[in-house]
Amino acid sequence: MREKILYAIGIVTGALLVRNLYVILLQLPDEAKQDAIWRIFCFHLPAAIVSFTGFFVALVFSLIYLAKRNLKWDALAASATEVSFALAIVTLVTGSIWARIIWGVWWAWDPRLTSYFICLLIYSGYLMLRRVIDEPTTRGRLSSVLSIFGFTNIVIVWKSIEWWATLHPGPVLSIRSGGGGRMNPAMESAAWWNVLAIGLLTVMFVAMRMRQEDTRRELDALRRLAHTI
Amino acid sequence: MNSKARAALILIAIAAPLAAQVSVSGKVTDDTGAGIPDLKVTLTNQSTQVEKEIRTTPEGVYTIQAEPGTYALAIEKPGRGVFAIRDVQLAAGQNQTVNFGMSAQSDNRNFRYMFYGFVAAWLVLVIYVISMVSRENTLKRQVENLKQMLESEKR
Amino acid sequence: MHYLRAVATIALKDLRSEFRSKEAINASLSFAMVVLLLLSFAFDPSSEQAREFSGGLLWLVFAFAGTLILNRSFARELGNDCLDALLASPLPSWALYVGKCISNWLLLMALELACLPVFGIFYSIDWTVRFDGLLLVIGLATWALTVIGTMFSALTVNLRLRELMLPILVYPMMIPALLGAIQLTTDLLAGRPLSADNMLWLRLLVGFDVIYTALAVALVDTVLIG
Repeated sequence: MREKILYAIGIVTGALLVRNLYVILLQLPDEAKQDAIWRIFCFHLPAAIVSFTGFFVALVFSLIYLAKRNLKWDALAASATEVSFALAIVTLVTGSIWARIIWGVWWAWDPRLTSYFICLLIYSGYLMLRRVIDEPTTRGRLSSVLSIFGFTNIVIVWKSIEWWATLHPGPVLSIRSGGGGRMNPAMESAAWWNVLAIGLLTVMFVAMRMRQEDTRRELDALRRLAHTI
Repeated sequence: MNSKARAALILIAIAAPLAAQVSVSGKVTDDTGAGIPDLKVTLTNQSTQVEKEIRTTPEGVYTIQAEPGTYALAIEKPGRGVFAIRDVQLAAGQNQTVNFGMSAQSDNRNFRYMFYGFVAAWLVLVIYVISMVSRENTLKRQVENLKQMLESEKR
Repeated sequence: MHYLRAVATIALKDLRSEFRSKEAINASLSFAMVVLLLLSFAFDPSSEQAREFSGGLLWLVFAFAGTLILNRSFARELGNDCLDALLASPLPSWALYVGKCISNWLLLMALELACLPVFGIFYSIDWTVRFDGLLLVIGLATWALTVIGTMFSALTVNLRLRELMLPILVYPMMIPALLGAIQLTTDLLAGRPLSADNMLWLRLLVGFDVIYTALAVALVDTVLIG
């Protein structure tokens, strides 16, 4: 049953992505100020939004784990964090390529970029911490705490474009107040469709990653059994 | 006040801002040093956001008059996006020269980089999926090995 | 009242054992001198530009030398199973944590105040101009470093590869506080007062202190006991 749902999500996601690529590449025109390069935004922003959401969901799972102490929640938190980490790298790479054209440099030490980079370092620490702890309950406990500490930095990244003067463009989406709705509605809707597609992709990845956690738990159990013999 | 004095005052009022204006000028050249004609040059006042627009001459030269202040100077090829943006500080009584040199390929650069961006985004995700699957296979193999070991141990 | 006494007991215990051995403070002080020396090779210390990043230099030295003290704060209880004894005692783990934070903060402050004159001499910087503001910034930022450092020292205390994991976890977490401290210190060393311009950084520093202290106190029990 779980496999079937996974395949169904996969098909829907694939269809959505093809539709989005068609709209972004062939239907929408070049942007007035940024020319063709604006299309990178259609991947950059969804990857950023979904990775933020993923880190938040991982925080919620971590809190549930700490309350319930059921390893299922820890596995979910770890999977969500890892997939969000991959998406965060996508955000950084696409942003960097965009910046090469618009700013003329691959990287600028600007508050938003810097704080985002710090977050990546913290969550890579999270993933590394999970690898050095063998005992499952200790692993869950300590990584949940780290997830809570790490998420505070996501808030800093999110708010950084309001707190400091940054090179990074301000809020362009119509849902954010303050200069909202400056984007062309057709272009914005293309970005939102991609948020949906990448969100579904993430759900699929998390489900795939969960299977790995199941296998790992089986391995842990077998190892314990082997020890007793 | 007689009419002569009034005329003089009006003249001063009109002339004063004109006299205060300074010019930004320069040449946009390609790799070979030849000027690029018909590029859109936009000078945007950073405090008022007022824009002044002009096209480069057949020799690739542009000249814009503006009041002193802080400006952003952008060079664009119509329909192909921004080539370059520079911050320009205009001080009273000082004309500025800002030259731009651009690569002949920069025309296609925007499109190429967009393509790189798409490929890079998917590459990261594909690499992630491959690593995820390979790790799962490693774990499965370990489970199989352990099971076999326990099986033989039982016998 | 009862808890306050427990916190004070832990803090005094740590300070006393530190003053008897002087291990951590000696090591971190000499390490601070080494870093000060090494940084002087990276650029010309007598140049005008040195003034512009003096705050950054100072806080790099403090962060690197300070973590030497912080990293050991729980690890040194491992010998003779002291940590188990402390956890088994009637004292709550947050009191243990806060006590350790206070003693670490005092040690770090001592280290930093000892480094300041040396820094002033080597880099020809007058650090006395706005000393009251500087003291406030150093106090707040040191508390930020202490809270994070002590918390992660507790988190990694039972880990194999502890020495490897600590810097990976601690430094990125400290960066927002360090950033604020660097900006403010540079301003103060250049003679600019704390004003509306740099109030954002001061607010960041205070916010960092409050939020992370609350989080650490709430979570330290989970980390140490489970």
